Amino acid sequence: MPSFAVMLRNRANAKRSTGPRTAAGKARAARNAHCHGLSLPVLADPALAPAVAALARTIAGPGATAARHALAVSIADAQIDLARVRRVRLELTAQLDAGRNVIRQLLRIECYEQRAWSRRQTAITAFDAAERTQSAERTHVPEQSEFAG
Amino acid sequence: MSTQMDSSIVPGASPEALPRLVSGPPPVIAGEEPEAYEDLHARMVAALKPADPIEDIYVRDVADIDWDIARLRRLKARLLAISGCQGMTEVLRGLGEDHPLVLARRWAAREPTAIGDVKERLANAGLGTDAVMAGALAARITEYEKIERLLAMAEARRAAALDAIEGRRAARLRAAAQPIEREVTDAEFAEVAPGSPACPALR
Repeated sequence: MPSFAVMLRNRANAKRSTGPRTAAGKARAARNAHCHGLSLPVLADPALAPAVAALARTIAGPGATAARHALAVSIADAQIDLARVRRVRLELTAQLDAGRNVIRQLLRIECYEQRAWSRRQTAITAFDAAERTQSAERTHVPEQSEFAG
Repeated sequence: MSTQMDSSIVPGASPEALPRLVSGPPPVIAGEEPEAYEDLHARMVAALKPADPIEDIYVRDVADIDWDIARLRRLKARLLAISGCQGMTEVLRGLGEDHPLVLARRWAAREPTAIGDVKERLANAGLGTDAVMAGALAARITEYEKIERLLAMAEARRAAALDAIEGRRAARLRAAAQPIEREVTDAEFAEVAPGSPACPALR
C-alpha cells in the first residue's frame, strides 16, 4: 500500500498521462486486449448475422414453423461460429507454414472448435428429433378409426 | 459445391451458394491450389451424396478436415526435413566430432566433400540416415508431438462427421419403418365380428 504522498504524486502523474487522445487512437487502444474474438457470440457480430439468417432459412426449408426455424437458427449459429474458428485456424496454419512457431496457439484454437462442434451437434440432434416427431404425427392414423364398425 | 443437392430441399438458396454459407471460401493457404480443394470436395459430394443441407454441412466438414490432415502431414514431414541439420549435429557430436555444427551445416548445404566425410563417419560407426532422422526428431520432438496431437484431433473429428452422416441416415430409415411396424402390430389386435366378411370361416 503506497503512502498518501506517493498516492497523490501517482494521481498527479496519471493526469499528465500520454494515453491515446484521438478517436482513432482510443479505438485502437480499446482493442489492445482483443486476441481473436472467438469467445464473442456470433450474433453479436453484425457482419455474421446475415450469414446465420441465410443458412437458417436454407436448413429450415420453405414454410417452416417458428419452432423449426428457431432450431435451424441454433444450427446455423453454431456452424457460422465453427467457420469463424476455422478461418482463424487457417490464418495460424498459414503462419506455421511460413515458419512461425504458432503450434501452441493452434492447439488453443482447438478448444473453440470443439466447443462450436459440440454446440452444432446438440442443435442438429434437437432439429432431427423435432422433425421425426412431426413426421410421426403426420403419418399416424387415429386409433378410434381402426376399431370403428 | 452442392451439385447433388436437390433444389426442392433447399429452395431459395442456389446449390453453389450453400458451401459459402456453410464454411466460407476454400480453406487454402499460399502454395495450395483452390481447384485441388474443389476437386476433393466434389469427390466427397459424389461419394457421400448429401441428402439435405445438414448432410451438406457434414460433407463440407469431411472435405475440410481431410484437406487439413494432408497439410498437417506435409508440415510434419517438412519439420523433420528442416531439422536434418540439427539431427546430424547431434549424431556427429555423439561420434566425437570437434566441430559438429560446422560439418552438419556443410552437409545440409550439400557440399560434396562434407557429404563424403559424413557418409564415411556414419559408415565407420555403423549408422545410417535413420540415426540422423532420429536426431532430427529428438531435436524437434515438442513441435512434432504437438502436430501429432493436432492430427489426432482432426482425424477424430473427421470420423465423427462420417459417423454423424451414417447415424442420421440410420435414424431416418428407422423412422420411416415405424408406421409400417405399427400397422402390422395393430392388425394383430384388430377385433373382427363373427360372420363378418373379414372372417368368412366363422360365418
